[in-house]
Amino acid sequence: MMQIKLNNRDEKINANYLTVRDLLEKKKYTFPYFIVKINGKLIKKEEYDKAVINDGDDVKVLHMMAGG
Amino acid sequence: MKRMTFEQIKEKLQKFTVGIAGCGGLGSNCAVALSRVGVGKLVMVDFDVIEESNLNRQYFFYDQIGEKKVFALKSNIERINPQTSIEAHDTTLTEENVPEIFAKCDVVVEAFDRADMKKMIAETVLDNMPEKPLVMGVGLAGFGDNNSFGVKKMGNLYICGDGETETSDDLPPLAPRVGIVSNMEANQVMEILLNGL
Repeated sequence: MMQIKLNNRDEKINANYLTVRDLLEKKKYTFPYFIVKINGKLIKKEEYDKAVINDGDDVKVLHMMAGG
Repeated sequence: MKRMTFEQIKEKLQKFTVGIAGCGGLGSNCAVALSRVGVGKLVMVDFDVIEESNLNRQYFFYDQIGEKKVFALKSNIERINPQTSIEAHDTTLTEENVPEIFAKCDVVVEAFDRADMKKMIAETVLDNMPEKPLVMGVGLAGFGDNNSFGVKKMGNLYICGDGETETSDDLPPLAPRVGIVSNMEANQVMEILLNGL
């Protein structure tokens, strides 16, 4: 079990090892376009499989919605 | 709130350059607002042509249908405030040209329609020019629900809008809510320029 901050909320995740890809699947994020930041650092799409989220990390998943 | 006279505001804003990435609903209204308050220079980019369907929210006129948005917006702004210096780029923004086109801008405004383009500019700016403030508009479809709007700040990234609604056939982008978000973006740019830089 680990605890992270996800979009400013405390979130308990049932895992010992978590990549960005794992998090997106666990949370069932469905928007096709989003930006991911861990502790303020941008994680690009190519890095989702290997970017590791650690206990206590501040994670932001920002959905990009069409319209303008 | 910081207190300044309009003369003080104009004098300070006159020294700054703001990038406008897209000249549709968000970009045209945001650029007009920034010109009205006295931002010295706008670097505006768009590849598109004005269609009749754009007139429900974009700062263009019926007799401009068929014109390139970036040049029509330049001429509209020149009629509002001829002291605004304008650099107009009739091109498509990409990962490759964003850093170069906006290099001299103090702040960049994301004003795209498509979600993939919003993602592209956010990643490109965060990756290549992380010190540059980027003001985005996300979530503005439909009508009503005034209390849904807000701004999220994450480092140099500012996201204006409701963060939820996505445009579709039954949730179109319309003048009031697009106007609100575009002016929130302009208001955020003013705050960044007048408080910080």
